[in-house]
Amino acid sequence: MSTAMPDFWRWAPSVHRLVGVKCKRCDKVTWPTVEMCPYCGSTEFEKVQLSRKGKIITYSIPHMMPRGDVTPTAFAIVETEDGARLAGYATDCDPYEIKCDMPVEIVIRRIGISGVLDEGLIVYGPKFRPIRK
Amino acid sequence: MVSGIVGYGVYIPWCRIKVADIAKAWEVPFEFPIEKTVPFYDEDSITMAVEASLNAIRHAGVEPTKIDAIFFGTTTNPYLEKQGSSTLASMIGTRNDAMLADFANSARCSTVALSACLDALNSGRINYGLVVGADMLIGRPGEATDYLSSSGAGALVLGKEELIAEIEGSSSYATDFTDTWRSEDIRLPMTTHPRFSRDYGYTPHVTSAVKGLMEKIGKGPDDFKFAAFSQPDPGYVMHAIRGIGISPDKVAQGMVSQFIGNPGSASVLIALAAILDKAKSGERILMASYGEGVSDTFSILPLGKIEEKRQNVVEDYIERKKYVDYATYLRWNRLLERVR
Amino acid sequence: MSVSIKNKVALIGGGVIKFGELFEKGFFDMMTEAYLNCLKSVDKGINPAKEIDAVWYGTIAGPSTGATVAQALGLIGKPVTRLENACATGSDTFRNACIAVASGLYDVVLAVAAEKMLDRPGGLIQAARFFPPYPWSYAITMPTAFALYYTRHMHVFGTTREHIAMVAVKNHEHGFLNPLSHFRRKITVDTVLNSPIVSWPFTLYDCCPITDGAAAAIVCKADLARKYTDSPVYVVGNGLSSDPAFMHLRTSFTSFPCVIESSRQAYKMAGITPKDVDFAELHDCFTGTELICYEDNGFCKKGEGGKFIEEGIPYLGAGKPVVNPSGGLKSHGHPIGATGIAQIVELFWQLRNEAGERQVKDSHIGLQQNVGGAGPQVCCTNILSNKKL
Repeated sequence: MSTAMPDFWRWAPSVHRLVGVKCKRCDKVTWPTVEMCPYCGSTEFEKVQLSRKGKIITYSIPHMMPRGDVTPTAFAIVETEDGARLAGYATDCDPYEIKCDMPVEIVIRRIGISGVLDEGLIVYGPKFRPIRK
Repeated sequence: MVSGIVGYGVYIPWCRIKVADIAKAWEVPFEFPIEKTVPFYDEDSITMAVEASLNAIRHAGVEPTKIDAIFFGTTTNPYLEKQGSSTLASMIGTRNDAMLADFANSARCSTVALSACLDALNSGRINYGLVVGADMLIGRPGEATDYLSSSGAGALVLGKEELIAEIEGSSSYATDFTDTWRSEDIRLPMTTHPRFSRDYGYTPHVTSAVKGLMEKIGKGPDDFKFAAFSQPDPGYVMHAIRGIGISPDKVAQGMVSQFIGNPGSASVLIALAAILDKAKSGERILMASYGEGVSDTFSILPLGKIEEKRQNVVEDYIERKKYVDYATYLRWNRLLERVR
Repeated sequence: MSVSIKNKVALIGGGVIKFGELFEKGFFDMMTEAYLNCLKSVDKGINPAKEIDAVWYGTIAGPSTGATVAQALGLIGKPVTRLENACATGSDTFRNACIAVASGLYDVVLAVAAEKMLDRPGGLIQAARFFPPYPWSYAITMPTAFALYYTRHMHVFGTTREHIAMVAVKNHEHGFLNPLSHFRRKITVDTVLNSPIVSWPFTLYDCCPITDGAAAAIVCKADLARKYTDSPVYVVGNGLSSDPAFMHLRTSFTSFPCVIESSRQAYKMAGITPKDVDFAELHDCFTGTELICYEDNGFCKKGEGGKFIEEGIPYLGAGKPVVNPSGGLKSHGHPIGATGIAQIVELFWQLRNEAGERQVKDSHIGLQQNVGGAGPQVCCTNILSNKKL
């Protein structure tokens, strides 16, 4: 995490409250916000609020992480109800509970703490949680 | 115009630890089946506050852009200097001209936030306000606070229309009484002798505040069907109600500490939510918080709409659980770290 | 594509060093050794200072300017270009060297690459060099990035963890016959499944090792080839393609569109179909990657990669194409930048019948491919043949 406050600040709307963009030409929703639609190249968008529910497209469970100080957890690609894609970690679950096509909800958690440039900033971002009851 | 509650929400962490497992690690005999919450390693007061707030806002049925102010109370803000309410605002999506306020320094900060919100509503400055209390308390390993200190969050959306409950009045009683403290040199909270804390701290201040409230609004103990108290220790509550004339069955619904421990400023809001989950129109609720020699009390009257917007959030969150062991609890709370 | 380079470029020399944990060799020690082996392999000899016109130099983490290579290899004054394309660095370095020759600008070009991964611990596991959408979003490692694909593949097609274990077994069997391999040890499916999980579903044995290495190859204009050797190998096709860098924007998690596209370009340029390929050096950074590449290169139908390995088709002496006769990245190692060129050198030996015990009999057409990035972002394919097509 070698980046400074301005970078975190630029990304805040997308990572804090799941603001994405919907392409006016092809209707696809992209997250985080971008300048050019990665699907059709258009630059015309409207800002949208992503749904906080989705399903797991695929996942993997790393056991060996660089400094080994995080409990094994699942990393997944998730598709929201409005067709947007996100990538990130699962939380509040045993990693082996995660399965393809499983419904999940998106919650905001601590992702980490910045080092190197602007040190000690807490960064928050989306994680996925199986829907219970 | 009367102010009151439009919607409410809570957040209770998924992981729990049986207090008996903590006692066992210290070889202390302990028989009570109580548990407390354990925050996941990626949680803090802000993440918990956000979820409780979004739940409350959803229940209230208002758009985040309609919230005119956020009053956020916590004793465990992730930073020593950097306000939490602005991060909350970013995560909830309130307007740029919404007023943001952080409250801190004692377990009653959530009710201080509540009072401030009521003042803002009653003065006409705002139409909707969000009150949040969230804490991630860590107890001193092996001591009484280790058995009780936990995490959680509660949130209320207050307004003047479409109320599910009216806030009829409030009162406080304060002296400078230090029974919990923490400083830059003392990372985990210190506490005094529990009976001193209960008999000279909790009980007299809560009792005086409640009596003051009842005088002010002209009601007596029998006018209240339920009572929600801050629960630094469940025993304190049972001791205090004797002097107030509130019977144990009235507090039962709000006694969540046996399941979730003591989540600081969230304690009283979660107790209130547990009662709002069940209370019917007209079943008046007494709410009393406590923090270092100050108690804030409120009288809350559920209205008809509460039954239309019935939810069962506290039980739902309590039932979703997974137990962890003491070693995991220590590691996640950074009480057990690699030596560098 | 308006111009093809088919049959215009010949590969006349190739050299590698034995890969491994080479603490006693520095970056340029390795590169020089590979370069000298390459010069020796030119049948009729070559005078590098006079005859090499340009150098393309590939590395991920090595020194960044070409001048350092010119100095190390005694080629001061020559044009040297440094190239990086994630794990496809090696093949793209080679591809650019070929394009330079085919353009007519240079007659003889050296493609050289090296990678020192082991001076610091961690290597590939730490080197999650990819572009997450926002800088701190997630710190995943390469095994996780590729494992995502195999999880979905298993879910959709019913392939199993045993299938990828079989890929590891095959590559170890081939590597056993290769004196230059990092590992020369036969294993079983159980060895793989019982080893520690790195990133489910991949275990330690599903992942290629962290290796140091270097490789070099010399290409020249096809009509100059006979000056250097009587058995040149011709470059008949190449292709390069990219996929979205952000993992969550990938369009498929059961195949690699960049592999499909880059191999399609290469087949088209060579005028062949997948059935014509006698052997292929594919990019088995992880066993699951190789399995999906069987399908994406057209060696079997989509979804049938499991059946393909189960039936033993890609084994030496069994079917066609033989995949990774050298032992693949799994067993001979993956010094990221150098891998592609080492694979080219394997093709050089195979197509000239110099591969010893691991010779693919009667082979005429070989395919070399690298995929690069986290869950691939880029794929580069080169097709070589020992006769003009």
